[in-house]
Amino acid sequence: MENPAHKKFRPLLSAFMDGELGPRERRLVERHLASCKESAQELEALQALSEGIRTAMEEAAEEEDWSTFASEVLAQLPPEKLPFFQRLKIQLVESFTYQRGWVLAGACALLLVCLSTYIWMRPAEPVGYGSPHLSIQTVTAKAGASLKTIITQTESGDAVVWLVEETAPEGEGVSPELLEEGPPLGLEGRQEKGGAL
Amino acid sequence: MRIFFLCCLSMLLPSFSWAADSVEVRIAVVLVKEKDPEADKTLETFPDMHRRWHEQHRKHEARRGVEEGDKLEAEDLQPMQKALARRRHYGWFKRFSKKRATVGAQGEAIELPGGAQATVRLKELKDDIATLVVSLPSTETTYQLGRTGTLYLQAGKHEETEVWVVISPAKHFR
Repeated sequence: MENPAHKKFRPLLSAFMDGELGPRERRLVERHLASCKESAQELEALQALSEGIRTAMEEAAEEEDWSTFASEVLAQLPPEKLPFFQRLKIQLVESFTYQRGWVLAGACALLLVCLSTYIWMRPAEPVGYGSPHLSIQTVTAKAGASLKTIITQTESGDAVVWLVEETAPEGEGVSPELLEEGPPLGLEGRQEKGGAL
Repeated sequence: MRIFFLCCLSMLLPSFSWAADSVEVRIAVVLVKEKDPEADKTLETFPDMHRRWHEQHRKHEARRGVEEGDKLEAEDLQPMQKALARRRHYGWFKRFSKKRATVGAQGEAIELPGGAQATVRLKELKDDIATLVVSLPSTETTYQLGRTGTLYLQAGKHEETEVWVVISPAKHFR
């Protein structure tokens, strides 16, 4: 009949031999081995078996040609530097897998900073529109052009520069009432050729 | 992290690239045709005929717009029609081109129909008031930009139409 203590400690013998037990368990097994002949014999048998396997493996390994082992392993490894997008993909996947919270928080913070900076820095109004109304300064007919120019204005402050043939009848000339329709155009210069204002 | 950094940079770039030595305007070239005043007079004598003529005319213009691959932009061009109506009654408007241009000292070219060209250049930018020079085939206009006001410049003729260059503010100021 099997010794109950032997039965209890038997599964631990292999782990004891491999040094995988904790200090407390190890002490218990050692104490048991000192008093149990069966277990001590089984441990010896296990050690012999292990030694036999190790020797057999070493002999088998010696028969193998290991000269190309390192180069074959290296050949199967990925290249030293992956393409940019592949590295980026790996980085993103790893970041979102292991540090999702931090990544999202960082992204939100950065986005917030960027948005506020953009809003703060962008010009409030397009440049060059300091004046409230458009204002014509000069209208010049180019050399050789037999034209008069007429400027009219609308209530909304739009300015219209018309071309009139210099030979046009009187009625085609400027109509003073047209110029009175809107706010002053702010003409600072005069037409340099033709074109009554 | 690098991605977000790049995103930030791309968002900030527009604000940094905004240069103070140029101004933004909207430029359009519009072809217009005058109504026949005699026809109007005749039609006004017969109001019913006038109404029917207008209906027919509108249908015809719309059809022509579709056939020419360009819609009749009457609504969009209504302010122009109104501005020009002070002096002439134009009944047909067609946009030849339009663009938003950043005008600097070196000038911005405007293609006119018939191969002609006009230019707009920034003459001066002082106290946030831009002075622009618009050079057309027959005239040169110097004006100061304003938050309100569109400049309509008659630029000559092309076939049966009159060519107008329209320069308006970059945005609608409130």
